[in-house]
Amino acid sequence: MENLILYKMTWEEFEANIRDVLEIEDGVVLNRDEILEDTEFWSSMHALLVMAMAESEYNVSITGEDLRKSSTLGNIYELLKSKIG
Amino acid sequence: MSKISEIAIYFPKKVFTNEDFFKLFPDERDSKTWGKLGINQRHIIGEQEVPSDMGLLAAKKLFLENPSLRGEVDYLIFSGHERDHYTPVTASFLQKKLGLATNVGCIDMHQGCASFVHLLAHADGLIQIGAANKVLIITLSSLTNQFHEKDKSNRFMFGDAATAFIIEKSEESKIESYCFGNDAESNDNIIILDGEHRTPINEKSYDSFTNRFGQEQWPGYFYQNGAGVFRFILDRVPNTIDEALTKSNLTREDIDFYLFHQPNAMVLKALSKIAKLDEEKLIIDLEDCGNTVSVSIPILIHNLKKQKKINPNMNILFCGFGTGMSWNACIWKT
Repeated sequence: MENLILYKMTWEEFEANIRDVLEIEDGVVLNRDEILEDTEFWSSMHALLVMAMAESEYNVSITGEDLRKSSTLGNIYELLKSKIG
Repeated sequence: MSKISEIAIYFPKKVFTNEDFFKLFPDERDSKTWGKLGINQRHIIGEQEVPSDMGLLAAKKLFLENPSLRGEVDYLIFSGHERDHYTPVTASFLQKKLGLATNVGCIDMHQGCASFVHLLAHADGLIQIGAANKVLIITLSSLTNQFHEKDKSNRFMFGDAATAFIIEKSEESKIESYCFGNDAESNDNIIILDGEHRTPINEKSYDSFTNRFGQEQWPGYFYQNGAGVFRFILDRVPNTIDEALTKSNLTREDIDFYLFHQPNAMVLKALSKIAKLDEEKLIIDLEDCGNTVSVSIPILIHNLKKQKKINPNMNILFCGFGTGMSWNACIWKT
């Protein structure tokens, strides 16, 4: 039987990936509960970058609909965690 | 067997720069979004310009550079949504205007941003069955005519252009491993709802409504759902690349260039990462023209040929994707 290694994503790792993909400078504080639409770094294009990151970094597919339901970074983090399983 | 030989490109004179865009939409100047798309300017069809005339000018340029072609072409395919008349086909008018012989077959066919591989397949097929030796393909896009003035995304991303190129019989080169797909399930991701037989233009065609994606849409104008299209590309394109490679018994290392439809730089960079493609082999070249629909892959071929980068014994993987939703790929063994 194959050895299954359960992968656990941490907030710190997720935050580092988000900073990388959205090119958010270190000085900008990322708040889990801040509404994305109210932030300076978020746009519909950035939602696409997050979709691509989910695929390339975590091998999971998220849809535009999934992202529309996620109003904060915390929501996206939880969404990815649930998809990773 | 066949090859892609001579090729010419035509861009309309009017240029719409990023600076022009930011003057129209000043609130967008500070957004980081636009910088990621890799587009600095796009050409826009003139107000009095008839779309097929762009194709005619591309073909005239091709014949000017290669005078013997005029008498050698034995089939003409016109590819563009923008026909001259309901009937006859636009290829028929172009045949006459270009002074081609009357024993030249003429037909129109189009599949939006996914046109190129379809066009290759049809021309290649005509050559394989002995019906033609030199197929002239004229394809164009004047999609900017179909945008609502408030549609920022599409006005930034798309540009107009035309190309004329030749697919001809060859002893050395071949185009193979064609793969095609289409899924109408989510075809409202790229659509113009009104203006044809299903729903003619009516009093509501130019009133906006909120669509199922939560976005503003005008039924009489072009609509594209960026997130939906991006999801579609990620779901379909990597598998199609693998399918074409498997059919040719090749690996990613064997490919010299990936020449894909060019929606924008961000999508192509994400795609190269997800499909595990060598970034240097995936050509991104839309800085001066934007997304030119069916002309985007021919522009890549034209520019690589000009730089003398397409040489014998190369493997070039073409991939198209777009409205339909439709996707395809094939491999050109030069």
